[in-house]
Amino acid sequence: MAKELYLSGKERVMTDDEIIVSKTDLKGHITYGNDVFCNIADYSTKEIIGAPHSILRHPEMPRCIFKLFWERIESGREIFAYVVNRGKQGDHYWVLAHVTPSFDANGKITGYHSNRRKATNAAVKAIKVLYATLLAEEAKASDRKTGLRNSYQRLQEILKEKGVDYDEFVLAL
Amino acid sequence: MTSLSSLSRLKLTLVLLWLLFALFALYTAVAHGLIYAPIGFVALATAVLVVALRAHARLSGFLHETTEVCARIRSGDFEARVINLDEEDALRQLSDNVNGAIDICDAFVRESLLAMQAASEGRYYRKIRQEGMLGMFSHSVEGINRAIDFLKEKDEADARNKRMVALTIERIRRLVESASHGNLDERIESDGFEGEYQELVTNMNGLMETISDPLKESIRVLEKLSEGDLTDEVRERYEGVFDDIKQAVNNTIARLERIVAEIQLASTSVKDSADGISSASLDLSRRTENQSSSLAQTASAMEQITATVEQNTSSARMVNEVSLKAKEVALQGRQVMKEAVESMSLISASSEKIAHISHLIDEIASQTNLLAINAAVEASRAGEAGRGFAVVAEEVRSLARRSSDASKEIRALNQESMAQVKAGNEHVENAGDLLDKIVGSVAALTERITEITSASEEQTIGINEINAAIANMDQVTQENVTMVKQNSDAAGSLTELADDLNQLITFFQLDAARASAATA
Ligand SMILES: Cc1cc2nc3c(=O)[nH]c(=O)nc-3n(C[C@H](O)[C@H](O)[C@H](O)COP(=O)(O)O)c2cc1C
Repeated sequence: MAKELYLSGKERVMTDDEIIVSKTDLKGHITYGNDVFCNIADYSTKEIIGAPHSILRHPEMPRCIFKLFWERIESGREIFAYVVNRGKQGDHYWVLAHVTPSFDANGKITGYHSNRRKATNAAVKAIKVLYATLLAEEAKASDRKTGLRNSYQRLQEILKEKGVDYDEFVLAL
Repeated sequence: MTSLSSLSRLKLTLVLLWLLFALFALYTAVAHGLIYAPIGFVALATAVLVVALRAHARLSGFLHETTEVCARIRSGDFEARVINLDEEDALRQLSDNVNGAIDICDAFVRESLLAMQAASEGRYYRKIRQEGMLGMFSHSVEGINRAIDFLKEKDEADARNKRMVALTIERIRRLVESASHGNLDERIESDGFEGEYQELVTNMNGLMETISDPLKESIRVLEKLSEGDLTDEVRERYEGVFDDIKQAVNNTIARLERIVAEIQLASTSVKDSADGISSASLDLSRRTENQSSSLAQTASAMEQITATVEQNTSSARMVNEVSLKAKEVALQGRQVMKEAVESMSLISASSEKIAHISHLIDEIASQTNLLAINAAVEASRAGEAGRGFAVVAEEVRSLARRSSDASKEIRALNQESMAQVKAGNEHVENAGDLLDKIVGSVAALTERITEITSASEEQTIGINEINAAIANMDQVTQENVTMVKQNSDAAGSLTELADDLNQLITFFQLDAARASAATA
């Protein structure tokens, strides 16, 4: 990874009736972000349009979640994911992201759309435990690739243990 | 459109206003000879115009974009947004609000679509997130989520119903299967069933009781019956065909009870009769055996008599034969005598011939002797040459002498024989007389013996008849013995059977009161 990201440790919280909306092209470059997005992440519209969505990436997000995330949306399906994002000033905020592909008239994926809602404290508490486990798995590995593979496998095992699929697990939090 | 046309009007007005300013400035310049004031005035007006036109362009561009976005949204393209890179101002606020309105519609539409899709695949847990949805959106989300819940409940109820039906069918099938194999103890466990299924299962179990109870009671009674216990009966109250079974079982036992009691009586009297027959046939057997042994004794005595008579007969027959032979021999003797007399006379004749011949031999011998002497003389004359001849002559002389001796002996013997022939003749005469007497006696003897023989034969015939009669009697007696034995055996086994029957019958335990009522 590049340089250490600055983290202020300050948490920003959404209100109940807010939705953070963004749209990207097929590569994950932002084509639209609403005012809620700009406000909470301390970015201007100018700064975000055309930028990769990973500008929001927080180091506490396990890579395997994004792997699953991309697998799902690229295959044309929706995904719900709890995500912690890092704003421009190093503040962070938790969201429940709902990411879906957008289709043209022929059913071809033209881009992606994300609606993010406020994540409840209970859900954040629970998901933090899981993410810590997965992160540890990734940190443990000698290289990124094996780390990713191991944590992805670990995620599947944990879900299997709970006897639910990923969606059921996330939506029940 | 109105806004646009009004904007164009505004632009036209501004240009006209500037033209007015410009004309006014030209006029003051020409009319008053002023130069700087009008130029400054026009410059100011131009600046105002430029600013106004730029503001106009931005506004009209924004309006145009927003109009287009609204048109796309209206046509169902929720990807459209008003992209406004400007900092906070009224238009930015406006575009944010337009986008916010679209965002919520976009979110609502995406969510609704995906939630319904998930519901149609049975993933009812994927409902629309309520967060961020306000007013009618929120109400709609609630409505849709309620519909999803309803679908879920209905689906679950369907599944439950299906499960219940399958479970009920399976359990009832098992119950019927084992009942059709005669196992009536199987019951359906009612846990896991609900409502009317529970009721059905309870009813099925009740039906099993209804069927199995009377059968079980009947089995109990029949099992006791098989152990001879006639004191039990089917007591519970049953309906319909089960009551029929009850009546049939109870009637069977009642009837059996009566029959057993009657058999008990009958078997006792059979036993008494059989005992009587048994002792009578024992007596008969003893007597018959006595009779049989007497007959055996008689038979053996008869056999002895028969043997004696037969011996007599055969002795007489033998004597007869011997006497006949004696007679024959005597007659033959007579014939021999006659032939002997004839032979003896022939001998006498031959003896005379012998005497004559021996006389002749004697003469020939003496002449031969003379001839031999002559020959010997001649030989001695001949000397040595007649020596062999002299030996022969001497031999011939000795032979002649021996012939003469022999003929003398023959004569003597012949005379002796003649004398003996004479004596023999006398003896033969005597013997002939004796033989005649013997023949006479033998004839008398033969006659006696023939009489004895025929008497003995008659006796034998009589005895044989007696023997046959005795044998017949013996056989009949033997048959009697066998029959008496059979009879007594039969009586014995009849007694045994009667005992067995009594024994068997005691196997049944009767209800004392009912039994006496039955036989009374
Ligand atoms: C529509 C959409 C929204 C996304 N939102 C986020 C986000 O909020 N936070 C984030 O870290 N990544 C987000 N991503 C994922 C990023 O594109 C990227 O994959 C992720 O940050 C991981 O970065 P990395 O691959 O450089 O590690 C989004 C992607 C798409 C397509």
